[in-house]
Amino acid sequence: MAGTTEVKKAACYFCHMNCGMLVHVEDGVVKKVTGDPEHPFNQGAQCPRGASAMDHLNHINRVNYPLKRVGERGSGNFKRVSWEEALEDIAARLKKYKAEYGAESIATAGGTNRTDDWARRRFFNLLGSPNVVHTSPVCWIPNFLVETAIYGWSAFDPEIMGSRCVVVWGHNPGASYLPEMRGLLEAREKNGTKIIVIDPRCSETAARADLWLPIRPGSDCALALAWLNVIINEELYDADFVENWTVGFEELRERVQEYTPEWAEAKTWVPAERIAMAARTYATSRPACIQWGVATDQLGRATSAVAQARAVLRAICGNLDVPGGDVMPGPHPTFITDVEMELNELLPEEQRAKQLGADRFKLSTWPGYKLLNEQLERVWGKGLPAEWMCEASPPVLWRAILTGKPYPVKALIVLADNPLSSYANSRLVYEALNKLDLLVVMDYWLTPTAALADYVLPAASWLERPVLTTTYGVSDWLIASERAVQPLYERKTDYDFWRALGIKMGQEEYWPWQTNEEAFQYRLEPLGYGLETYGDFVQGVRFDFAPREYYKYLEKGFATPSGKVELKSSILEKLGYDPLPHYVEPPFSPEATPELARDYPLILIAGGGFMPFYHSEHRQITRLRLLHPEPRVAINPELAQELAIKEGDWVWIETPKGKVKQRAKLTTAVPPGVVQAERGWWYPEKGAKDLFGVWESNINACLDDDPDTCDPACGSWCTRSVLCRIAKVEG
Amino acid sequence: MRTMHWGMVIDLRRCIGCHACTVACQIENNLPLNERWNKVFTVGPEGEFPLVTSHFLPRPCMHCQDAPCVDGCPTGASQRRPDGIIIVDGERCIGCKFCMLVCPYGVRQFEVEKGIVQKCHLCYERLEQGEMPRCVETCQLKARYAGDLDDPGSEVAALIKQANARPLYPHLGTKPLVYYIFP
Amino acid sequence: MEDKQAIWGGLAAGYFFCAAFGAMVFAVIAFLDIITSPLAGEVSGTGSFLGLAAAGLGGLLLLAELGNKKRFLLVFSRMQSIMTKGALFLSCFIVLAAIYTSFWFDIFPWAGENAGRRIIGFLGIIFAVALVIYPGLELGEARGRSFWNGSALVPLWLAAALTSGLAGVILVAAVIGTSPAPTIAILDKILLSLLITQIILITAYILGMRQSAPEEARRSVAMLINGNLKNIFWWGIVICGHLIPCLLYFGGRSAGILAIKSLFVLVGEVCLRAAFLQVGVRVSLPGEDNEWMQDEEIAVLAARLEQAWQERAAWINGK
Repeated sequence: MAGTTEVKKAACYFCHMNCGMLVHVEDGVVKKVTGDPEHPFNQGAQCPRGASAMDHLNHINRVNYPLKRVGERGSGNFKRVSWEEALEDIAARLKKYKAEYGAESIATAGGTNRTDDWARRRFFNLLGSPNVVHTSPVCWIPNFLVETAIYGWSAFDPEIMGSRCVVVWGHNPGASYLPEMRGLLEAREKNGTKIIVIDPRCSETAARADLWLPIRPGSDCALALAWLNVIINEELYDADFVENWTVGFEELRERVQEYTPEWAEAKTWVPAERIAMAARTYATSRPACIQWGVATDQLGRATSAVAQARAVLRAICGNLDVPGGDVMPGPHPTFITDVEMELNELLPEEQRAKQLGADRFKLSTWPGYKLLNEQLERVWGKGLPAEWMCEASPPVLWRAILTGKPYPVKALIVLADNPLSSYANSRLVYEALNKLDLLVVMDYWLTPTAALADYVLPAASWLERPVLTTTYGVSDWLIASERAVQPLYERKTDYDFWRALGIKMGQEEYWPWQTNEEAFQYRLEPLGYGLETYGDFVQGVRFDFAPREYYKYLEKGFATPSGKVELKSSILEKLGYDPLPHYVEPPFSPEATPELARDYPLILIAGGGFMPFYHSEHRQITRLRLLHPEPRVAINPELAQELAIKEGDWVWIETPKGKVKQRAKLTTAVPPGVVQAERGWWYPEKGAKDLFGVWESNINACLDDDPDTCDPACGSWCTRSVLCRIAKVEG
Repeated sequence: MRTMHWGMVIDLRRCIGCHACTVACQIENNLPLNERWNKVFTVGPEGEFPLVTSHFLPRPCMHCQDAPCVDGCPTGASQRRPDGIIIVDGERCIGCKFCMLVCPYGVRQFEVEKGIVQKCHLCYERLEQGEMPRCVETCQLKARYAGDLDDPGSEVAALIKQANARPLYPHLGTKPLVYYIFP
Repeated sequence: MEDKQAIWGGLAAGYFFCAAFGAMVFAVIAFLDIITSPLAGEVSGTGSFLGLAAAGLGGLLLLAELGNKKRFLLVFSRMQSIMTKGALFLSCFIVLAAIYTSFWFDIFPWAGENAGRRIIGFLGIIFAVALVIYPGLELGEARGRSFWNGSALVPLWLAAALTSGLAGVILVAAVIGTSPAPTIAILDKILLSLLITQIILITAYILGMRQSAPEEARRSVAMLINGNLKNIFWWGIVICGHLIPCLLYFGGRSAGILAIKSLFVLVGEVCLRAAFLQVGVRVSLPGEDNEWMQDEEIAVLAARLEQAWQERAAWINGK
């Protein structure tokens, strides 16, 4: 009997690009995964992760059944249980903690948010707990929220094709978001677009730039302020726009006088003349855009100052919402976006006030979220989602679990995350996880974090679930993709999990959609295509790009209290932060901590994306692992020679917090005083007792997340500019 | 009917070293996990910080016009098709590995299970069906092109001319059909 | 880049040695036979049998080297290929050597038939010489391995083959007990001049390669002189293969000394083949030096990882 062959239009979710994939399925079995030529981002191509998707789907170490811990936490002894049993027990315990300690004693941790976390937020709002964390403080959020405070949305969609100059700031699309890299090169080829890259090391993108500014790690703020100084003093800004559409320019002018290129040279290690020349190039190329990157969100207390200075740069150069510039798309007006699915209104005020960290990191928690959304709803009709944009502070969470202050946290649901790898100060995270009464982990793999769990629940990957790419509601387009196959074994989608648990917790009436598809169908209904099912939408429509308008502010103004771009931000001022751009030195540096620098004389950059992995993922995909079997720390040959380190030697990277080892990669892409370690390393082939080697090479074990060193507005901890020392591993 | 000559152009200004081509080729041809018909090398960084340059070099089979592997094969398993593609007839290969020894680009791999030598065959079956080789299709940076070198109007011919694309190590005299646009 | 040539390994080196040794032991014996020089029959019989056996062993090693042994007859398919030529030379030599050898053993009716034997011997010498000349040309076809220069390898390996052959015949004579024979003394003197010739040829070869332009040739020289092949070069080739034998010439010409000297020479010859094979590294492609792992290491890692996933599978599935 002939089998059925279908071609499913899926979206890869190994990173946020959501490249379109065509999946050939024969009798319910995935046979081939190729790129979708019709998809506007990848146009039929795949990166090595997407190309090896079938290895991921069928890997024999995928978690396929719910597991329950037997024996000591960390012993690695599990037994298989049914979903029913697991959910019953989890729900019963959550109800107990809620009754005894309050809903706030239950928290959840996510990672980069590549799941339907509006459902996570929905569950937690209904539960009554404000304690949702992701790695958001170090990923995109400082960028986004500071921009939103200043000009009422983020310049999320820079229009590179059509721009005269793109400043790629703290971003390396060449090793992470490949379609973006292609876009940059195509723009240059077609339009002569100038590419300026700002990065402490010669990354893949920097190597192809027209101008690369090799700044001292963490000194991005100094550079941005010096640019402001040059652009304002040499009157290269858009005077019209500044006059008609901004407030606070005179204060800004006064503020930046001290930030001369000469002052910045000492801070950034880039010659003053070069700084000035780059500023002039950027300012006089109109339209231009500043492509945001997450590296500058990882500078500890210096973080939001960078975003602030950059936002002001975009504004005064007249690039906001112009074709070829820093386009602020606003939310899609019609379909039901993430924020509208979250039921934030059901979280009572008194619970919101208990959000961990909201008392000190005000922009990225309920205080800031409220102020921002007021303006956004007024002008755009919708605000930002709470998932990701209004979250508890991870460093405060770990400490609450450990110390019981400000109140005890008893249970943690970890979904789509490996906190032992992804959050800074891994030892502290480890102690916190061990202190929990209940640790539930839902993941593809038995990660080091899962090895400590009371329950490990099997997660469905993107071939097994539909993906609705909506940029969490911060842009005006969506792309709908379907699942290729139903989840294998007893894997479930994250939506299935939140719904099933929610029903057990008495939230049944709020979970009417039985599957992901039904929920998505509900959200797309208002678009008016009149299609029966979500599958029909994917096959028949797939993309909905709202007609793009520019200069939207001419009609509606900017979504700020004054209706203009607030170069002096009233929202930041109201929350207690400096309303104008200002300089902040990163928390760990010879200038900030001279005693520390004596014993730890080198600057460590912990992080930066690299193929063929993504954060701590794919180490068990043999095909990919063979391309890059062990972690590498980039060391300049001069430094290596001083320390008698040869290519490939294992070296210790040590900070006061901890030490890990990686293999020395001698390269002149970094200067002699700087080393760059890779992130996310663990060894799935090692034993569970050793937590799969998570203490051996995981650079986050060397990082400090002390809230006093974190960004005052968003709580970002510092990874990209830390002090360390290195030594060859003997024996 | 005019015989065409398949050729490949690889734009090293675009290749970003992600190894997607390596992986996709392995999956397309059902290769053992460690066997790579297409490797990607990292050249550099050269120079002192911050005046450094670096690029990547994907290395498929060069499909040489004057191929020592074809000349030296005792069984005739290594053959040059009329359209220029060099293939290995798995039924005739005895696994003597002489071709591996004489290939200056080191593109051939010994498949231990089957006891024969294998290598990139420019996805000739896909080409015959009007599809691009898998490595060309999968490249996110659109750094690879395949086409008819003899057709002056083809993309590859135009690229070779405009961008001065040339083979790797032409002094070895094997006359590759793979051209590189060096950065 | 390659840290040594690993495609043709020990089996191939063994074949090259056995074939050269076998061919030239036979050739010396057959030549002496043709010029009717008095060598005792047992030496000739034993020697030509040894030559046959060595070549036969070489053939078996060659067969073992193949990935697909069942189809080995296909190796004779293309006369344009030097591999086919070589296989043909080897086969013809073995056949002729076998026939020639049979002439020395009385169980065969044609034993002792001098004229016939010498004609076969002459034909055998032709193929023996072809057999020792073609390897240099074969290796020379590898265009990216500049250390293997065909026109320079041929005389060197020819001299090496002759050296092995002479040493082999002398060894047989010493063992059987006919070493005092005057012919053996002449052979011994020729061996000395060949050893000296080899020293000159090897030195010239290496020095020539050191000055040459291709980087891989210079890399090969470095491997031999002070790199990963320095032991086999200095201890195997130079000391065992040349220095000690030359010194032993001062030790007289007793059977024991002759035998030991021959053995050292043969050890040196084995090392020469092995070293020259391993040292022929390929030109590095741009960026290839930056690779941390050789293909073999990657294969080992792949197997280890796959096994690790296997071992965990039951546990992760809750069994």
